[in-house]
Amino acid sequence: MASGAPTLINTDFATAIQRNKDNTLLLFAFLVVIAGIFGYVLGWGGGIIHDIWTMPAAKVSHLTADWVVRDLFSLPPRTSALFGALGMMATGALWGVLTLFLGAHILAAFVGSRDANAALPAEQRFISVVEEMAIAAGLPPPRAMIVDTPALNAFASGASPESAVITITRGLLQACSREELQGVIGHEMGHIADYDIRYSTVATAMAGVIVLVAHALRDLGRRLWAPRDADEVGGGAGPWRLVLTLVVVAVLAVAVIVAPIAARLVQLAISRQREYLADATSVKLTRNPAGLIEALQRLQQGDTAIARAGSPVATLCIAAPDALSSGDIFSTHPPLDDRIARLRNLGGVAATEVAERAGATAPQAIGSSIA
Amino acid sequence: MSTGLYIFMGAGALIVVSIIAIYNALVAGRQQVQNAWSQITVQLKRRHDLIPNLVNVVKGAMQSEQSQLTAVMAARNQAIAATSPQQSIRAENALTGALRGLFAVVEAYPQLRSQENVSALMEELSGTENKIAFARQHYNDVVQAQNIRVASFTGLLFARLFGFSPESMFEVGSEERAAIAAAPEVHL
Repeated sequence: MASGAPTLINTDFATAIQRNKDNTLLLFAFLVVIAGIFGYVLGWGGGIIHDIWTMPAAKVSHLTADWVVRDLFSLPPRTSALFGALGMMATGALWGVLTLFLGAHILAAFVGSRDANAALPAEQRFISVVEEMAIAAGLPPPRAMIVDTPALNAFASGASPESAVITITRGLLQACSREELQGVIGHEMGHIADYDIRYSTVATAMAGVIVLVAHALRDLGRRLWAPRDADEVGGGAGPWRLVLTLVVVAVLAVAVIVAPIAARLVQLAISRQREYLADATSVKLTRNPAGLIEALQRLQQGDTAIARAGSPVATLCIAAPDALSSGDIFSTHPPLDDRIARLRNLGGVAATEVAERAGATAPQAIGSSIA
Repeated sequence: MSTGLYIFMGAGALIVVSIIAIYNALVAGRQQVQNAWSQITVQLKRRHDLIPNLVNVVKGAMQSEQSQLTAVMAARNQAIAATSPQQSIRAENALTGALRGLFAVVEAYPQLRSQENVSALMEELSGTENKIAFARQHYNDVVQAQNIRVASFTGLLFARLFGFSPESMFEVGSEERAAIAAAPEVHL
């Protein structure tokens, strides 16, 4: 879904919003399926190892490695596999809901933000743009907060539109014209209106649980990887039991390695999809793609680092807040060039028009505008 | 009971449920339209309250443009006096046009603009202008969604029966469109 700007067709924000929502739903289903398959394989592994070691010795000698692999795909599946699948999905969902309610409280302290001060002209403007965008979205005005850093970024947080917060860095606030600010706040308002706060929190948590379980199992595997006297534990068929167990462990190892990577990739793809969605929603609110395009061009030139890589803030920022180059499959954000190209397709803003406007309204460099 | 009767009852239940769903969607839509309208009126009220203050402050310095000021006050009073939404929409559009004219004139008086209370009022008023524009945009979005609901199939069958009719949009008036094209951008 990244790149491919030349193949983009002209579209309007309503279509773009619907398509992004469909894509997110599909990716979310993917993530749940990955959790389910991972849980299924783990549950199956536990069940079959238990069987191998409790069966009578005479029966064990008839089993083959082939039987182990066929058992993985046998129907009806083992009860332990079903429990594993359900358990993994439920844990992911539960973890998501928990972080949703606790996360918002931790976030403000995490980045060191404060309430915007209406007595300062720039922050007064920020507050009134936040109110304007809330009115355009038909939502209650979010709390407006500032991070005192020259870096250029902004993010939305909170578990619901009623408790939402929009935070901007002092650097971005001072660098943006009013139109650009509307584009940026519209993007954050989009994250709030489209319930991205919930989406990305739950997606991050779901992927997080898979990663966590995989790591724990890898550790456990290493610790158990000690040579032991097989005859002692398994009776006469001990060595064969051990061989069969090793086959199961090999299958589990594949799952433990593949599942967390797949989950993380899908979660990041969701995050990127939501960025396109928030951009489209911003244009729905401002009816002015040029403002956001100019703001994104500013972000291209500036330093957007406000949080370390992989922090929970990352997916809700306007631009990737870590040092990672955006554009690869491990990025929370799509490349800015791609986002700008898509915005130009909304309502067909000519590139030259934006360039002219940028030249006319923003002659000063980013650095010089930061007091 | 026979299978036919079951099918008949099932279909009947399905129809009743879908009629209820249509009715509820229409009611919710009308509620949203009223809500969006009240959002506009909150901002319009704010504008009506701010205008006399601005006029009082700039009156003394603007001897030669008294007609501009009386035009704004007249448009404001007409907007307040409006009784129906249609009337109100027309009067508010006229007021927006008159205000843009006044803003342009104030721009021409640098010593006036530099007064702190004037610039604060202008800031406040232009912020309110933006909020009116966005509230109107949101109102029109909600009206459009409701009108689609009323006019599209199945909704079409029951909307009239339940007493729902298409709502009217808050259109930008011809005076204001001319003002948007003509007025210089106000930088505060």
